Amino acid sequence: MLPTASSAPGQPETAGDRDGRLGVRLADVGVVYDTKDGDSVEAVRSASGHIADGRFVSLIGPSGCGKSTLLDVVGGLLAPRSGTVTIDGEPVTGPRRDTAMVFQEDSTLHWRTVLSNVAFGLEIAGVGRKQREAAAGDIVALVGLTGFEHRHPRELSGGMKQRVAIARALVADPRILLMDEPFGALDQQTRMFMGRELLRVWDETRKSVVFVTHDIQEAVYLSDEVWVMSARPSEFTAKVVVDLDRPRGPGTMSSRRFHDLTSQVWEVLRVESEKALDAQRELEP
Amino acid sequence: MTTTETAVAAADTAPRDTRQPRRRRPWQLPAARLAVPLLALLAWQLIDPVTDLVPAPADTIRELYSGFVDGWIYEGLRATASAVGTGFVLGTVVAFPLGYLMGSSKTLTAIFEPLVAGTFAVPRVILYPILLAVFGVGLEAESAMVAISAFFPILMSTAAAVRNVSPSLLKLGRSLSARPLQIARKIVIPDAAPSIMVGIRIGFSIAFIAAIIAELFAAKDGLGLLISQSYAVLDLPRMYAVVLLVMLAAFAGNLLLWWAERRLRKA
Repeated sequence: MLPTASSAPGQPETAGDRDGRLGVRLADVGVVYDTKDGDSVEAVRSASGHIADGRFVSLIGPSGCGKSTLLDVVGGLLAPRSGTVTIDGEPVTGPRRDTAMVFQEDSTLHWRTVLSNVAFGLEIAGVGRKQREAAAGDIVALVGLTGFEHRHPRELSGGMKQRVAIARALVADPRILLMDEPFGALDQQTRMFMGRELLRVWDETRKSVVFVTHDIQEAVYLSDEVWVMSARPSEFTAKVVVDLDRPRGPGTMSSRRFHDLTSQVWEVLRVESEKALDAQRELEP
Repeated sequence: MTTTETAVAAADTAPRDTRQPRRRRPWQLPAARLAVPLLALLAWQLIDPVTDLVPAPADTIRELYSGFVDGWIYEGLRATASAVGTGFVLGTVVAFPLGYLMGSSKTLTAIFEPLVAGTFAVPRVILYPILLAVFGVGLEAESAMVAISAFFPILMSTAAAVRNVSPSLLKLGRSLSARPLQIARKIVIPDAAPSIMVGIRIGFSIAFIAAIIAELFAAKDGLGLLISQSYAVLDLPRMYAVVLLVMLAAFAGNLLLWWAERRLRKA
């Protein structure tokens, strides 16, 4: 029923990747950025990790810990001060065609229809109208926006706008999806529903996903692994492997294992959040 | 009319006021729009007998009509229209790219913002003698005056509009490896268009004012000149007729831009 065009044939299988070369690899990544006042802030001290092909990994951490900054580095929008990010063994030097981003804020182009929003990436890449609209049409159906192709974003709810953003990211068939708190601006119910929808889409496309969030339950529910970041300057303090069965559903959240895993993440996160709060208090006069 | 008023009054005094938005009938808005100028016309008619300095609306309109029939108004109208047209287009063509550059660079904003804001406060009309000295009396000096006047509001609003383009849209453009020209055409300009259009409309109004003021000072032709000439010989009906025409022309011009803006927004 749903188009499977996006799971293109010829994509390397995880099973064949014995040396773990495929996927995103962070090696001692450090990020320093300059503030408006001319100070430099060490956001990330040393982040290392490997997101294997097709894995769903969430980054969680105290607010202001540099989760989004790290995502920008993987997306090639920001150069690390030290260390390297490689995708399938190639160093990331800028935005790549095989990564796509979804942002927290509404990033729909309000003057364009849903279809033309979804096709935007292909349009920028120079794909002809017929071809890109056909591809966009397939993805619109995949994310459940059928019937809204010719609506404008102002006619859509917040959740539907994020569906548009997800569809736009998927349309060029990237291998890696970088999601920066994509449901952060939505209400709790929409958020849970969108999480389920994301898993359904992910199931059909099997992209690698790096998912930034500050919601523990969301992270555990969605991911194969939850990486907990420390307070700034950050590094990964724990990587929790989520061994919950897939496909996940309403039953997942009420299972014993789910509670164990969320408390495990919370234990680490609580310590780091307290550190972050103490650091903030010190800054205040 | 009275029934709706009582209905409103009743709703206002109702103990539990749920404030249902009152449904507006389709004819009410156009009727109100028409009523306001008609009331102004009535007030004008009422003032007329009180003073000699104001000719009757009927006399004024008759004089304006004669201007078109006898043709004395065309030369002035044409001169003003071409000064406004040339100057406005020139001002926009220069102000828009500069505003765009200013809005997209923090450094350029930091350098030019105070200068532009400061210069904006200088009455542009004091430049007119200089322009007259450079170009001589005529269309060129007047168009330059108009262009300079239109320049500032368009520059400032374009810069502000471009600066306020949503950061997540710019990030989207970068993450898609969009080229600078693509970012300008497909992200920045469409997102900034409504605010830019506001600046362009203000620029147009100011352009019109500048043309008339310039003509009042020194011109070969133009509606401003007609006003000052008829004032000099106290031909008040003619003076009022031209003033009325200026108002109508400015109104029509702004309406046209407003319509264009709405079309643009829908596209």
